Amino acid sequence: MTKTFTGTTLSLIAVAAMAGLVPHAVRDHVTVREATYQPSEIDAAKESIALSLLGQLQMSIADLMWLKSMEYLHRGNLQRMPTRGEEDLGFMRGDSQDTAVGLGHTEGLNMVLDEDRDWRGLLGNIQRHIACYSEGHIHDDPVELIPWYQLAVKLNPKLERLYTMGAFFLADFAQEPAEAREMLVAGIAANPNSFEVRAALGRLLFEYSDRLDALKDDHHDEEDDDHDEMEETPRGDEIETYLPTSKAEACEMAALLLREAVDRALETKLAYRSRHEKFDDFQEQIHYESYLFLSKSYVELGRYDEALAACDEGWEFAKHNLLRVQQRVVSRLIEGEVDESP
Amino acid sequence: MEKVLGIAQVTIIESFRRKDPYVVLILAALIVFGAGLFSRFGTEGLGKFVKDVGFTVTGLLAVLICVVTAARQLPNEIQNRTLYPLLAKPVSRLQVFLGKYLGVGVMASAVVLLFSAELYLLFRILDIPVSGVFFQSVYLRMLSMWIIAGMTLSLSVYLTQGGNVTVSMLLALAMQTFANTLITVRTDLEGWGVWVVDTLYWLLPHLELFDLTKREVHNFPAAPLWVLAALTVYAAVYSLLFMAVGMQRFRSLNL
Repeated sequence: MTKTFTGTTLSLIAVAAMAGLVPHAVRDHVTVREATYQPSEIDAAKESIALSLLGQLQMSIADLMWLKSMEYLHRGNLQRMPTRGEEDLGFMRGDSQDTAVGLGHTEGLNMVLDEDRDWRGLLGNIQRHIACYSEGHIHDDPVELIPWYQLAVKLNPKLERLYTMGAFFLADFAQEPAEAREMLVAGIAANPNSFEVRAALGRLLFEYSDRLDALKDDHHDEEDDDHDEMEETPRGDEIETYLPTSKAEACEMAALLLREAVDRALETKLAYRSRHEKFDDFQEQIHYESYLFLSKSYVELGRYDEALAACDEGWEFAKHNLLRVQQRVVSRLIEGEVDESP
Repeated sequence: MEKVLGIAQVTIIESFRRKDPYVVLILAALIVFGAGLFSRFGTEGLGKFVKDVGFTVTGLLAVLICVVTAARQLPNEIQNRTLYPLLAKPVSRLQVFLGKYLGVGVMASAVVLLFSAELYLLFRILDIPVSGVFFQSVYLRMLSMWIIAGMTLSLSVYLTQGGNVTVSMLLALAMQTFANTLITVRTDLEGWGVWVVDTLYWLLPHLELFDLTKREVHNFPAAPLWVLAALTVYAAVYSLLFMAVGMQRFRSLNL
């Protein structure tokens, strides 16, 4: 009996080990291709209950990823809003202090009782050593959220906010602008009407117009590089995928993308208004920044009148003081007083 | 003691004869395979998630196998009338109960160890770093199995098998939620309400205290030794309490 048990257990462990090793072993030999379907297959899929349920599951897992990313941002610390009784005792909620716009949120109280709120003595002390507990509200390195966002958008490509946030973390925190660009290009392909993703790509191109090499993906094979070089000028839908080769071209593309972004943002804002809704903080920020970077792109291209017009338009639709500052800078440039933008 | 060990051995053999641990281990192997597939997504840095999923699933399956095994020991023996020839031998009801408890406890601990070995292997294969907290969490998880075994075995002389499995699973898996709810509700209560919540809080076995896995996932430092010692005492006290209550009832049961 013991022999059988030991043998079976060892076999199972061996199977588990092999199961874990298989993906590693075959990774280099697997080619991933886009699937193509006949119209009849797509029609059949639309009516399939099983596929519909699987789709629901996929969305639920994507949502779980988003929730998990929040848990991971707080390093496993669970929080809740204070109860009325706790507020009476002076334990209040507050706004998060050290988060980027878009990740801003209200901070509550630790789910695991802090020492000054605890009535459980030794048991409470033990729990603080067993659970993920830290005094106050902590945030982990946002770089750790990147794989979560990458996975979540693979499961639900319509989560447009995750493309912009993921690209922001990739470019600014992980110093991987090429991957950031790749993520934004995928984001636009999946969300062609999104102003947020388009604006983020425009801004990325502008910011890296002096360092275009950084936007080149080293992991791309040579075929892709040749393809990029073969493209002469970006046209229509190809704008997003085209990798510029000079600063002027990058600024031109940034301007095109940002122009489209502000137009779409305005359309979206008006549609929101008709439904008595408002942009959230992140959308507002993207909106005025799009005008700001549009103006800056025009300045780099020497198109000062258009730069000034972008500031005026921005001030009208997305009021922000930085647009006023940019307006003054552009005016001085026109008058030949200064040669640098803010 | 020999008789207790003999009954425990039979309990373990019977459990493996029913192939429950094998089924669970195969399921876990499939999950290991599933977790391994994450590398196919091409996204680096999902180590935390693989750890999280691995710990959650193996924890759930370990509790499941412990509860199901403990819940059927006495009811099945009574229903199949195999308990009567056993009690006709010079074996007391106390020895039967203790033997069953020991058998389930050892079997559940072995399952936790096997799961942990599987997880450790997976983490090594996927280059996911493992700290000392991992081993502390294995120890605490094994301790919690002894409480769950005692609790379920005791409840098996009070409840039907189905009811016992439901209640035990809820207590074992949702204790974190129950405890958090009690703590939160208490903040808005006064007078007798506080007393009721306090009584409930202190009576319920806090199995959430035996889960160190989140600390391993989020790279927290290891728990101090005094905490492990205190939890060992806590597990012993609760196991003894459950056993005492269960044995008392089993002794007076009209078979």
